[in-house]
Amino acid sequence: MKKEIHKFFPDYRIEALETWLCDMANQGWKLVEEHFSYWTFEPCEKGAYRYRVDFKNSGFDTDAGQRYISFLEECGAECITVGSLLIACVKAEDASTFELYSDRSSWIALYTRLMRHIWLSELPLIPLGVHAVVALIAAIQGNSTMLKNSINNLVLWGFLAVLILAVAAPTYCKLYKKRKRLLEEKQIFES
Amino acid sequence: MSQAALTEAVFYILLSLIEPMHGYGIMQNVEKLSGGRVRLAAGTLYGALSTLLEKGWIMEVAFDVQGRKKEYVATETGKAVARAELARLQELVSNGKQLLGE
Repeated sequence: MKKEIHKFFPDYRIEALETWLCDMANQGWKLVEEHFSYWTFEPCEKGAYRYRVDFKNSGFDTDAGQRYISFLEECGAECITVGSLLIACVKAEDASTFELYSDRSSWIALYTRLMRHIWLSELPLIPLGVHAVVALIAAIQGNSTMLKNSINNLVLWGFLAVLILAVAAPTYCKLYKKRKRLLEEKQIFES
Repeated sequence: MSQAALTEAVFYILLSLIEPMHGYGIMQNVEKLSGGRVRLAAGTLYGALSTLLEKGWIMEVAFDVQGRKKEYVATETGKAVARAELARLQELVSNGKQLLGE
């Protein structure tokens, strides 16, 4: 019997997605497919699979992406693509630890792609967010005209933008710190 | 200019590809050669193989007997690069031994 769960993950939250898929596998559910944030699972032995997620802005439907998928499959992984994400799954018995990358340069490249994606997707929201914050500050200071004038147009969208930016910010900071640490280590260690 | 130092992963990949081998075989061989110390992840190996193919240090030879897995082998250039790296490592070891007195 299959199970379907509706859960939304922004593309940049690949670690959260990995953790969730591994948790599902530990509970005995293996991912089969995804459509519009509906994730379909089939029963499997508890803890039988491990998951890792890769990200490319251009996705994996390109020739290069397909060659990469073929290579991972030759190495024993099962792959599912979800938009710009590649979900790789291996049997736990084949890999005590499963990572897609084992060198600093590849991790740095992945974190750079994710950070750039956050910038590109969130950048248009910044002016809206700033507008909303300015209107709110003006209202607090007793000048509610701006808030009233804006209430019917941009300010509500602005608050939504602030919310979306607030969700993305912790992930961005985490990626930034990890990338910085790896860049520092790369000055000392060779790979 | 002398050749820059190879990464450990690239050196081990070139050593593994003295004989034709497929991707998963390379991962296993590198782990075996290094006594389990170096474990190449599939994404890292894919990136390294793509770069080495572009440089002409390795080439694709064929598919394995089941016709499913692509095999690679080091070219003469690749072998020469590995030999040059070996000489560089020997120099490091020699200087290290001399100066550290070991």
